Amino acid sequence: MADFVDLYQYHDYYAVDDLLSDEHKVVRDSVRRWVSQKVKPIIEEYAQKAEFPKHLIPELAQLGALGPTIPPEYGGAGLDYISYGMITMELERGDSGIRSFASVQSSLVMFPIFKYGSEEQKRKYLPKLAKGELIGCFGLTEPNHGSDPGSMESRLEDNGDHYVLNGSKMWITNGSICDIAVVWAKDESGIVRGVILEKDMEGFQRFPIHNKWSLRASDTGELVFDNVKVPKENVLPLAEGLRAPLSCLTQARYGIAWGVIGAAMECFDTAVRYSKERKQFGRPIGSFQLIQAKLADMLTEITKMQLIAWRLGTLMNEGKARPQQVSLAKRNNVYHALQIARDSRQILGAMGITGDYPIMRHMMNLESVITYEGTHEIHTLVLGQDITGFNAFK
Amino acid sequence: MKILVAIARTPDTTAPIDFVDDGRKYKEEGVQFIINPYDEFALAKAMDIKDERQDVEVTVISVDSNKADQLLRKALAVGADKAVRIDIEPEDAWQTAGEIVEWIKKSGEQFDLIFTGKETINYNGGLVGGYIASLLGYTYVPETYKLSIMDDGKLDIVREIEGGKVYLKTTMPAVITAVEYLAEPRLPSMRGIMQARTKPFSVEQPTGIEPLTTTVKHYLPPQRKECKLIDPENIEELVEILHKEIKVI
Repeated sequence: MADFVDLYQYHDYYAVDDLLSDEHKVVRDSVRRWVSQKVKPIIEEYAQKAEFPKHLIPELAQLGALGPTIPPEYGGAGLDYISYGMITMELERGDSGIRSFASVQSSLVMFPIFKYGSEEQKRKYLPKLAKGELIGCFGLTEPNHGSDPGSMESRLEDNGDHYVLNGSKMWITNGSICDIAVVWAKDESGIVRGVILEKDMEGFQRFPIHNKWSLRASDTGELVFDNVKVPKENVLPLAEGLRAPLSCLTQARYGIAWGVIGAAMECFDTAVRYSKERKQFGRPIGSFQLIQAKLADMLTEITKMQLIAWRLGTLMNEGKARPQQVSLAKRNNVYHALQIARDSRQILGAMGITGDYPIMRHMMNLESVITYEGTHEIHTLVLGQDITGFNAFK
Repeated sequence: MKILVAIARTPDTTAPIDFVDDGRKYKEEGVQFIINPYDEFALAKAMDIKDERQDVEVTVISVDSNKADQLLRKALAVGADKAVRIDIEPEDAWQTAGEIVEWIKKSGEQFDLIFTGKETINYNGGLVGGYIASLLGYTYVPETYKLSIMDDGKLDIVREIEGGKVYLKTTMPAVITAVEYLAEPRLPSMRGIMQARTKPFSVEQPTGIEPLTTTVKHYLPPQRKECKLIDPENIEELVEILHKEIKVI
């Protein structure tokens, strides 16, 4: 693998780079190089054997990809949201599973502890999460409640000096390998609360979910809580109501809106190169109009995705981004990334289905990404409600 | 100890090669630029020395337009203490070296070691290090593969030569040019990038050193003709081609 050469060329048709600071570009190039050196040479093998490359965790931590927007006093890097986007974009160019690991650790574990946790909780968990010494997961989705988390069945019962947690969570990234879990459950008043579970708490069980055709290089698990005694100091004191976990998802979705640009661009770049080399009827297939039309559509969508993500990042930095704007970016960018992966697969013909090229892996990964963190359809309804004022959820 | 590392901006190793301005200039549009890989080895060595010893200050310098700012920021993010950019895109190595030396003299800095790469990967001149050494009267050790600073302050060096290696000893101040393996290049961490924000970064005006050479035109190698395959059973065709087309028989 030492002789692996990443031929990837970044595509910046509208000179979006001119809108970025030098710092953003240094962040992007650093993560890009790490992905080229450490992820791309091994990721196909791990995806084929359906295993998360755990050995990359300390390196992700060393790089600073875990909690990059968290202030340095808690172990983060204190970077802005566009830098965070640069990180997820480059990680997802490697694989959505690697990006998912970093997204969950950063946006769904470190962010809620930072935003809703006590000072003691922040000091106890954040530095270790940033160093990758603790792996975190986020438990919101349940077997019977995905798009409708408000109907969750997990319950927290006050038992004097502690709470008792019962219920289960499903489709949890990092679920079976987590050291800690930020879990959301309703208290006796029906208010959603967040608690930090540690893996050795009695009654807390973690199971891997097998036989996935997507995110194969990522851990997905199920969490089961059977009368788990949760110390009261493990409750996130500032989180009250469903708004708290949803605010975490807004962070993660923002990262996804950038991340999928990486997957799309990796597919597009592969397809462009292939179309110039592969010959049929005596000339490169890139010289045929139907192939050119596909490539033109892909580059157009990638350019739009870049501009949406950049503008949203600017709004995030200014504290002005609304969750609905994040929905638009997640919905649009994931949808088009998936289309780009499918079209790239078609350009590569039979070669596109093999592990010799990254396309089929990205395409299958994106089938999860269009479902998790709010399905494409739910984000459509979020926008529909924002446009019309009518709630079509219920 | 004060160390200066001179870095150049070069196209990424996989970047497409094309020219504009009637072949006079490299087409930069859409190209990603990196720190010249040999300069990265040099920078990494300076960082290793900084890690091993106390009181080491590393300054990184580039003679270039603001297109190099991102690369200087990266150098700060991996641990350099100061960055200096001389604000001109140089035409040749003489201009680059001359501007660096003029800045050193003007700033009054006394560098014990000056590192740079053995050459850039786009023009392969390999002259900047030698020019700087001769202009400053420093020892010059090109193509250095290994370097240790001994307790007596002398340098133990291994150089690559054709078909082998040579060990030598020398003294500081010295200009050292790097080959692969002098040190492992470092990736800037997010933390390092954040810390680089507050490090000194100065942009200096050029002093007007004139280049000694001017690039007139770039050429790409001629495209290789397609290989023609001839069936081994069809010797007549081979003979015909060799006789009529290539005219060797």
